[in-house]
Amino acid sequence: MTFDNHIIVCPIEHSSAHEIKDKTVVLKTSSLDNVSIAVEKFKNNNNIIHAVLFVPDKPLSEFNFDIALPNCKIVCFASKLGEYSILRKQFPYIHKNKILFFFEPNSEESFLSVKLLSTLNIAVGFKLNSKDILWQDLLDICFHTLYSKASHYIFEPINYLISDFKKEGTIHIESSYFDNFRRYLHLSDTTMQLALTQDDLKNKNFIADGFESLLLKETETVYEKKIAEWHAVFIENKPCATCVAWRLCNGSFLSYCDKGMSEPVAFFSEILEAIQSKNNRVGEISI
Amino acid sequence: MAVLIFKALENCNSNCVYCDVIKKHKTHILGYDLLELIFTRINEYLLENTQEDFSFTWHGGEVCMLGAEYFERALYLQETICDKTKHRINHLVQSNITLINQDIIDVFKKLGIDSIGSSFDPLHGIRGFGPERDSKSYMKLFFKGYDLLQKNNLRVGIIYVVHKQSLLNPLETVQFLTNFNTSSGIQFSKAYIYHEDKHNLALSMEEYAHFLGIVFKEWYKKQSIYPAITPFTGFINSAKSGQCSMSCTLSGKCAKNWINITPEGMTSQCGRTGDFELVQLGSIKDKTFKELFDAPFKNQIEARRNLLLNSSCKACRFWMVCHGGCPLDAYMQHGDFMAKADECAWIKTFLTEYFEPITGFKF
Repeated sequence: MTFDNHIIVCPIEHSSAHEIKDKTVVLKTSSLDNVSIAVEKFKNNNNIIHAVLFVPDKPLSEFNFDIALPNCKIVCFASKLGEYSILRKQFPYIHKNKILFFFEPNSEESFLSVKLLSTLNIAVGFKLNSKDILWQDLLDICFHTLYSKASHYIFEPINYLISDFKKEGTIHIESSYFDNFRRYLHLSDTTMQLALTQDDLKNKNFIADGFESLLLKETETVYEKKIAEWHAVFIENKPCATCVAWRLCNGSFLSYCDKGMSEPVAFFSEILEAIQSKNNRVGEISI
Repeated sequence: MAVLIFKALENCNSNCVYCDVIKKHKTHILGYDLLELIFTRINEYLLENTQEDFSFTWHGGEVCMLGAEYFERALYLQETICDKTKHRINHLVQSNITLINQDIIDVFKKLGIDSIGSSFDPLHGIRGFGPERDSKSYMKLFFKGYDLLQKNNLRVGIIYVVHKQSLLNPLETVQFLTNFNTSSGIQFSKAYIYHEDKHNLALSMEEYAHFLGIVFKEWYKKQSIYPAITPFTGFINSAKSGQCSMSCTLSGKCAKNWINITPEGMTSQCGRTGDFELVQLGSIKDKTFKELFDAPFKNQIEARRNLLLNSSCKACRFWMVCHGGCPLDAYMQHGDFMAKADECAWIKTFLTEYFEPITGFKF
């Protein structure tokens, strides 16, 4: 069936959590305190834990990372670092727990946070599904992460694109932050309604009410309509159809290009060049 | 490997400018009794030739017009008749995918098919339905079929027919094709217009060579991030290995092991001779595959290699990747299957002006 392989992004404290069985899940939480216990509960229901998604409602410096976290991928959608002198004491535990921090690339503070943490070799990234992306800043930091000789973490989703790109295959940048609708579904905080994207969840634009309705023909039709959105680009031969960046962005940033901005194309072209250099180095070139 | 180009029908739902099949107005479909006979003949051949495989290429016309039931029948016949040889029968499909559906895909999978050969042109008015050649409707169904194939993990290889209008934007065309489909490679094929060129599609051998050269220059640098392109990979592999890795028209190996069957069961040398109704070798009702592969015409084509090697192609350093080109092209160009085809011109230009200087290889 269409959604059999989808991963469910599920609030950890969901009142109907016990009903979630035999799924692959990303467990979403605003606190790390009881994560390990919750993970065990979900595992006991025959679920596979794909990742834990920590979405803090306060600055990172106000959290204690010196706790035992489950042995799985842990991702944090952070907004602020908070008090640096306090947070720096947490860095050994952040390293130990291998937490990946995503920021929204729409403020100077976010860029400073990513630069700082990446220099400390802490895994960081930008959620490119954010509004009002500062593309010029993103392009600048892209050069830094790709070409700076100082030891640093190559920020996401660049790291993901470079590692997972295949010359025969499609890559979806949103997978890096669990927002690829071909792979993830998002469960409402309070009901069993499911949305295709994080934005849809925020706007209460649901595709199904409960897992059973994922089997309905109407649900499949809505999904297939969304899948087919790319067709128009090629049928109407829009600029994206012949753009070098498409291989990485799949037209996700069309609204910026429509405004005449060239930075998104420059950003993805730069990453493609980095992928090309890497592939040439590892001998994937024919001659 | 024996290669069967199997045309169960010569009818199509599309009206592509460079294809004549729709103009034949043929609606006959190869019947189940004849289909049964073909599998019986394949089984006989494979039992007699225990080291051989059999490539069964579903071609047309548009094969999906046959419907899932037809493929189910073929599967049943293969399972029942070719019990001991079925693992040596490899099915391939060429389709425009505009009519593909889940039922057809399910049988394709049972036949062991994991990829579909298709064609596409980004320009409107080249491929399309009806007398007006409605490309928008065609593309809508093509992409719908493409998504369904992707959902079923079937790859799609794209043949792009290079024509006069392709010369305007070679790089954009390739970017377009690789943007929408990275599941498999692209194959370039030169447009052959043997009748009146109503749509201004015919291009010279030199123009074709330069089209390839412009694309090769870019692709070669970026081949670690772009899918394979035929004939580039063929030239590269041939240059690296010292052995020919080219497709049928340049391989020089088509003579003895290729055969085409029409909906009426008539056989000929290959798919292209079938299209032009040339060199009929007789009906499959009367002849076994062994008899067909031993036909006098095939021996004549086999002898073409030596003839060319000692005459027109003598001492040519590109022989290994050309073999005098396709005998059918030679016939269409010079009225003689034994002559050298004009493809020689684009191959020499492409290899000397682009391939060798760019790669550093020398044939």
